[in-house]
Amino acid sequence: MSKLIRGTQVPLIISSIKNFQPRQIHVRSFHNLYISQSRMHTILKYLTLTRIVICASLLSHGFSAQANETELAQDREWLDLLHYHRIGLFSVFESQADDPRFFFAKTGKSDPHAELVATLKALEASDYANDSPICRFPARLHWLQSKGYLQDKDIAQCLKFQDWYSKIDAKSLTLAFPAAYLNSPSSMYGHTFIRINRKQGNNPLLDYSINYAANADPEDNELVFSYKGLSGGYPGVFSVLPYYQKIKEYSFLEARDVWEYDLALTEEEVAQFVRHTWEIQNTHFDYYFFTENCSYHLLTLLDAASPRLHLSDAFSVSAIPADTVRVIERAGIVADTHFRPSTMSLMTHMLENTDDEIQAKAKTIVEEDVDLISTIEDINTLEQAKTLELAYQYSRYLSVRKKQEQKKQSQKAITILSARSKIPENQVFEDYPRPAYRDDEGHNSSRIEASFGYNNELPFTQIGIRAAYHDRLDNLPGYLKGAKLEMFHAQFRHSETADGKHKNTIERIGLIDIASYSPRNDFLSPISWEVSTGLKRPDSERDELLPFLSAGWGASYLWQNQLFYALGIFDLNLDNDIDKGHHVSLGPKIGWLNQHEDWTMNLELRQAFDVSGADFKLRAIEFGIARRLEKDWQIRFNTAYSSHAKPEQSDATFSETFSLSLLHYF
Amino acid sequence: MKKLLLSACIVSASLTTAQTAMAAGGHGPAGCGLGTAVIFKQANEWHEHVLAATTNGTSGNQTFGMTSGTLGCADANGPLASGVDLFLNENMEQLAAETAQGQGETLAALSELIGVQAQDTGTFNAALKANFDKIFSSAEVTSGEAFDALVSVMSQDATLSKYVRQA
Repeated sequence: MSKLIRGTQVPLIISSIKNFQPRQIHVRSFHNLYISQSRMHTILKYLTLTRIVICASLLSHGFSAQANETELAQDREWLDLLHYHRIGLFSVFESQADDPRFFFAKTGKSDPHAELVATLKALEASDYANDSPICRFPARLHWLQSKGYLQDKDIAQCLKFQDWYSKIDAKSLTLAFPAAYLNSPSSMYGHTFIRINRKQGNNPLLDYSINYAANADPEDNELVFSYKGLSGGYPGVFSVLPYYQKIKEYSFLEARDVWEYDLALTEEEVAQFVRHTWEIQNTHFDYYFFTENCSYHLLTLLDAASPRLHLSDAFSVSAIPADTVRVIERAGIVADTHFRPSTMSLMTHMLENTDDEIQAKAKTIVEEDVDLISTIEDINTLEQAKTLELAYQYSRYLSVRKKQEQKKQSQKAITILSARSKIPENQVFEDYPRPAYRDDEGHNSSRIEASFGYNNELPFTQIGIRAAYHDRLDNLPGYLKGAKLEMFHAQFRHSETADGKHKNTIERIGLIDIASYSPRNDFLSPISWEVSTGLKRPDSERDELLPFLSAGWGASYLWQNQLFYALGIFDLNLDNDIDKGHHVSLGPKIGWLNQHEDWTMNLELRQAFDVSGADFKLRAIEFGIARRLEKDWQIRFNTAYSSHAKPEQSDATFSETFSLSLLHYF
Repeated sequence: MKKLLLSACIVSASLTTAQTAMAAGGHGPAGCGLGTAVIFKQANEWHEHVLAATTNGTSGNQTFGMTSGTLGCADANGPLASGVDLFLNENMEQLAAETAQGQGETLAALSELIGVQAQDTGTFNAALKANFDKIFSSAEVTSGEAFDALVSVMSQDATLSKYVRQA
């Protein structure tokens, strides 16, 4: 050991002369090593050498600074502070900040060295006015000071920054990840933000949170919104808001549970994170939904706060929020996790923990004009309290669902709460149980599948790849029951034809496929719905890959923990070979969905009646069963049988398919 | 005890939720403590958020930009600590629900903001619960009225009166 250290000590110090590296860091690390050696002569030798190093660097500072800065400009921390990253297919390595005020050099967005030189010059000349270079860039100043520059500058003189910094009062950071919620499968895509835990006080609601979001124009309609969001048409801005604002937004308005991940960062890393947050205030970054989005930019913030973190590097094409959480997990900086149930989850929890009598009373109180007290006077106070709490949640639910009832329900709610306040018991329901799996513990977002099967007795092999995210047969843990969100799902098939030849075809290109079957009960009445579009080979016309659009609405119910659903489906197919070039059908679909931790099963029956275009009479039955092998592996069996009329034939044509697939999530 | 002597500076103005949030996020002292929110604000349909969630955007009424000192008023004359009025304004519904129960995280945040010490939080929760009808007198009560009622309830309580600055 000692030999090794002695062997490396001289070259290291020489390199520190050359690089003008931070002397204090070398001193500290050598200090530790040598104390552990407890060898006086080496300490003396080291001290002498250090002195030489210091003198040499001071002497050489003038003419070697240029060379030092060239190297320093390529330092990861400097690049992180300037937000030099690359994500997306066509991006170049430059700063993602799209705001000239973020740079001192004109070429700062693409030239980190020019920016370093300009920053040093600006900070050197800076006073301590509120918008002075030093007071605007405390994290840059801090880092440059750690590299031996600008030692005479003191950030403490930036009063506005110091005031803000002390209000933030940062002790540690927590990443918040609002989980997917029922009836919005697209929420699986998710969002993340960061809470800065205060040193003083212990109620997280009073902490601040840092959120990155597109500054969307409220006037824009949804189409414009989507287009601009995808193309970088909105400026993305970081905001600092009290955590209670965010919790209100997610837990109460959006009814989303929130997972919280306490991050194990050092005090210095947390401090630099906060300083850097100040630097990027009001700095505009073009917002891209799939790449430079909320979750990705939080990673770049964390990267800038610490030389040991390179979280954003994990993303080269797109960044799905759940994946950014997984990256943080893998980096080993998650100390603890917490679960925060939404009001919807709490209501479901209440329904699971009350009997029929309480539920009936709660419903009566809310829906009918009855005397509240006489409705509940025949049950004990604990049951009364439960009834009233359930009634309150139900009343709030109704006022959101039915806007015309809002005024009436507000009146009802205050009466219910008043009655509740007269009952001495405080907590009457048990705490919401923490789910067995966090959202980030589910299977990975992308999937590849290999299948082997028969179509009308002719064998085929098939490869499929899906960019995101989850279908109903995929491994359930960490995902919502009854929800589906698929984006960019392509399947390529190699098959044998009836005359013994082989062919390769694109079987299907799914662009988007969303479904939400959330069960109704006496209290909740969500609509089940689905939308999908892309290119497929219809059973009636297997020779062609044709565009389709399908949408459906209906209802689903839970019975014995299994989901039964019925939807009306609208289906549009385009095909220039068929009569009128298109085919529009309407028809019912019923299904049975059985989802468990280790296996999933789905049976679906469908009939389509022609509305317009070519004349088909489609009937189809599909069955799938899947078994989870591991978190990211699954084996699946599918079969489908369909019959349809062909205009030129009197008899119906049949099609049957069997396939066995191995699926891997990555 | 953290007894900050800051003003309630309740003004009466008709602002939407979004504007309230904006004002809360403002830089200056102008926007603190609005006192306009009634208990039950208009809530949005959940599915209105579907698209926003897909695309990771916001629903358009979110507050943007950096804020400084969101929780506090800048002037110092009110009966309760800085930011209590604003917090009440922003959390009326949840506070009403938790006051009726006599417990909850939002209620705990309110007592922390007022500076109620750990040994007095039980008294605080119980006093608010016992006076629910005074503080949340109707579905239309404004946060300003609720604030005044809260001050009055605390002033009349032997344990809690020490947290109220006498005018």
